[in-house]
Amino acid sequence: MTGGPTDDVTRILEAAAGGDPAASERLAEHLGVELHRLAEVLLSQRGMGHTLQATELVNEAWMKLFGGLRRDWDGRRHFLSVAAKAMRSILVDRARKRNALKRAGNLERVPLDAVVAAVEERQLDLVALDEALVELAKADERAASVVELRFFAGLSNEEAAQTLGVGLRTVERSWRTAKAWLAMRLEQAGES
Amino acid sequence: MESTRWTQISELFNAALEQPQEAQTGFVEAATGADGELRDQVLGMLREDQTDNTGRVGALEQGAVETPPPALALQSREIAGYRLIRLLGAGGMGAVWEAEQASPARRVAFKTLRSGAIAGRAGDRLEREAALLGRLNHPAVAQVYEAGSTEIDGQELPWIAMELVEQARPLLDHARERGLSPSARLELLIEVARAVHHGHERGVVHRDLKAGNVLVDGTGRVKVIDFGIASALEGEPSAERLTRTGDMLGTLRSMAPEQFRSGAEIDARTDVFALGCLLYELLCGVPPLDVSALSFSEAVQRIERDPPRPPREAVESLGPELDWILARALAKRPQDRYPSAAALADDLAQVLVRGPVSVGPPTAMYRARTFLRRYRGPALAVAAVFIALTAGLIATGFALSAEGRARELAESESLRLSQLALLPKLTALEQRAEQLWPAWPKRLPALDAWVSEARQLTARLPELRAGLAELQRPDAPDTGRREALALVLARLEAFSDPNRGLAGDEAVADAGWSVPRRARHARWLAGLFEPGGEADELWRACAEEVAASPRYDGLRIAPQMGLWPLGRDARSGLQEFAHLGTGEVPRQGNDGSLLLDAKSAAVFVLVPGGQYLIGSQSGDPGGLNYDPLPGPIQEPIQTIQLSPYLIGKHELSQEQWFRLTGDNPSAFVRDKIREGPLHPVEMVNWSTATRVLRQHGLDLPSECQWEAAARGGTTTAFWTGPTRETAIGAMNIVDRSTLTQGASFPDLNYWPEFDDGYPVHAPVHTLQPNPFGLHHVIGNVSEWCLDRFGEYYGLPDDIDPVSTATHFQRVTRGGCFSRAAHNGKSALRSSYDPTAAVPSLGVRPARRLQ
Repeated sequence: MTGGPTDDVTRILEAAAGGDPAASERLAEHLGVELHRLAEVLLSQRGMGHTLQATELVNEAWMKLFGGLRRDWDGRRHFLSVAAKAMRSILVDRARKRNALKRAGNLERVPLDAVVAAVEERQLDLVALDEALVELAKADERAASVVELRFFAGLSNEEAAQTLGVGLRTVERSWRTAKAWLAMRLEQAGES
Repeated sequence: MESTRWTQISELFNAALEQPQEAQTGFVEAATGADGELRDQVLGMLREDQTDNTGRVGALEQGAVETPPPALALQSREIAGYRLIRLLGAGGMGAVWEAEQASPARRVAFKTLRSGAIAGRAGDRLEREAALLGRLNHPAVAQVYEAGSTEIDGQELPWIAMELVEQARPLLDHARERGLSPSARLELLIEVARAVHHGHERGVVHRDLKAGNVLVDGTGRVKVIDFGIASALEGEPSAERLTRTGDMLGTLRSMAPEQFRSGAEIDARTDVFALGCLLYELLCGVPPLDVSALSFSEAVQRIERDPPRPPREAVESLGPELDWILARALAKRPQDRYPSAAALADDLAQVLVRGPVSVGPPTAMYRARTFLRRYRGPALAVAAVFIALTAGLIATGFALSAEGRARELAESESLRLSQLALLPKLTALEQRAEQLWPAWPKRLPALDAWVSEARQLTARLPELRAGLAELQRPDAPDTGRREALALVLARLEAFSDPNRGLAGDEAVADAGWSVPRRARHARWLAGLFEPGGEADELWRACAEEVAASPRYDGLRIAPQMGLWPLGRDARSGLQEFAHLGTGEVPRQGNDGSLLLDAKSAAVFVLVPGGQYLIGSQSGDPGGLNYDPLPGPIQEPIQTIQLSPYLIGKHELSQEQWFRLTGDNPSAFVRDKIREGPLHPVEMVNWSTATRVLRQHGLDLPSECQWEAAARGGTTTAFWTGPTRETAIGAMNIVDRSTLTQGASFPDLNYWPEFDDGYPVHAPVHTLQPNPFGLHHVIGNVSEWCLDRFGEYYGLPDDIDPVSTATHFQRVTRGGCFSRAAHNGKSALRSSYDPTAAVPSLGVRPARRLQ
């Protein structure tokens, strides 16, 4: 991997890490573009028909934007929270758009479809998942964050605990409970 | 949803999880009372939760793949001579990478550990342990190469370099995915136990033989990994370490009771216990004790106290002996277990052939029962005696004689059982043979030892045939034993088959040369290369010439085993060599030119070391390596440093490949194309090419080596000049003549009137060579390189760079008979899956200097 992070992105990330919400938003925007682009690159190298995982993209984006930085760098935590949200929003948007296009019988393909397809192959409806997550967040924001970090950014329980600054047991418990609740919710949504 | 409602749901759900499963519904119903909605929600959640990570819960879980960020930051870094290429897995202790070692050049599994994972002075301790572990040498034990600790970004990073297990799957997953039969599972476990015993014989106890540490590679062979690593790290597993590693469950499941007692002796019997756990789970699908839902101290208590759950049907179908074997392997007190892993393996092997095992009621009764099962017919009379005996109805004298009869049966049996015990010996020899490459003189003692052991086995063929014939008589009673013996006989016959067998004299088969053939080759080389031998003489002259040559900048070259100096090529001025494993030394004309024929060996060119310019630029028409129409990622130009190396003067021919493998996979074989010999081999995938070449001390060229040699010092787009027209007479590309084969390749449109006269590939020595003497670097067949395809190099300080890309595809170079001219430009890169076999893709071998 050659070259370090661009100064611009590093500054934004530092500001986001410092708690600036506007910077977080700009970082998310930046990431959205980067994630789309990376999906394209990864797929062109592998050929269509391969699937991509969201976690792979998030990590590639991290490497691409900040790969040269110290590995214990605190900014990684903030990056991950933002990336998880960015990943969620672009994947859900894309899934929504795909559904609309499918109904119109006109499906142009974009690289991120491979990620959406990988999730849908597992019988998960991203749009319904997003709606259930919105509801969960109203009742328990932390549980929703755990789902974002684990599902959309591909973190382990330990990393999610570090990122959120809570104990491992808390994350484990939230994750198990949230998974069961979301699964139950999606089951109901699937039936209705 | 209100957060108070969520709290209710969440708390009730978690409280219900603490109840035994069968009591959960009642618990929830009692707790929810009239609140039917709450009840339905929580019961729904419990149902989803119990799908055990299948269904939607599993789909949610799968979205999360563990890739810890600290590890990822190491991607592409070089640590102590290893370049980390691809993250294979990560856990609490650290991460495992596929890495490339520069010298010796090989892929390794590179384990990086969290610095806290090691007690004491990490580096010293690891190095000492690695030296000890390095002494283990068994085909089913992943070899530890080296260990140390290196400062990275201001932190100590302890690491261990180990043998890379290709296409590894955990044993249990492998067995499940392949739907292996109980006896196939037993065979695998026997291999594991023998591997573990090998370690014990050298004083190393594994200590952490959990399911995840026993792998099966792409060829179906067992590999035990992390042998002794647990103790290299910090002595015994402890509660504290277990919780930190994050793999508490995997480890706890196979820990012996004594591992929880401080000061208790840990020895071979500790591993025997773990093998018992593995055996149990392999056969029954569940571990002997379920500790998954317990706290650490509860789990320890259960492991120390509770007997294993009774094994299920899988075990019964193999006979009651397995019950006894499991009971002995899983005994709580070490002294009640098998004294060694080998003893366990022996008993399991006996189960396979339905012979008597060492455990069970230690009386004649047991032996007699074994025979009853095997000799159903004639033994009935004996059975009657025993039924009577156990009922206590027969006089003592009679009982004694019955017991004597049983003993007699057992003794005549032991000879026949030793025949069945040949099977594991055969397997062990087959595995050892994989390591006996290249067939060079230094390997002669090992090759000879192998051959003599194989002879001892094959010497028993007549005896086995006679034994089987006897069992095949119509009145012979025991079909089970007959089948077992027939199996041994078939394996042994295939093994010693003169044409295809590993122990055959001349055989060249799937595994490459038979071992006797390797031994003969090595002995022949020993004669040629000993001081005063023919090759040795030639090498002396060659080394002098090289040392005196300005082309090689004073290079001191040692004799290269298996290569025969052919002298300096008159045109290129470079030294050339014949590879004696691939054929005969080619004849040479009076001017030294090569007169190749079907029997000729592969010829190598010694390329001088130094700086080479690779890649191209499209900005400056007057500059070096100018190419106005570059292909994907071939810019910018880069200066790279190569040490001297050997590269094939030609693509490897079909005849040469056949001599190495006994096979010619090519699509366009001689009969079909009605041409002379020496057409290039094709339809060889990357994985096969590297495996076969490495058996013979060769390899594929790195992409840098390829381009440096293909350019031969030129700086134009083609080595012949800037345009495709300059390459006429030196290239075989898509052209009008391909139409005569009935093929119409789309690339023909680029230059429809061109005709090089070769419908498909030409014999490898046909067209004009480049300034280094290499033929057909433009077209004919394109050629595999070692590197993964990806970004360009960008590592100018490196000597002999190899791509750090992480992509699955491997680089191919040089264009081919079905593609347009521009694919044959010196800098043009292309790629294929390593598993792809293509008619237009061949092999140009290379070799590094020793």
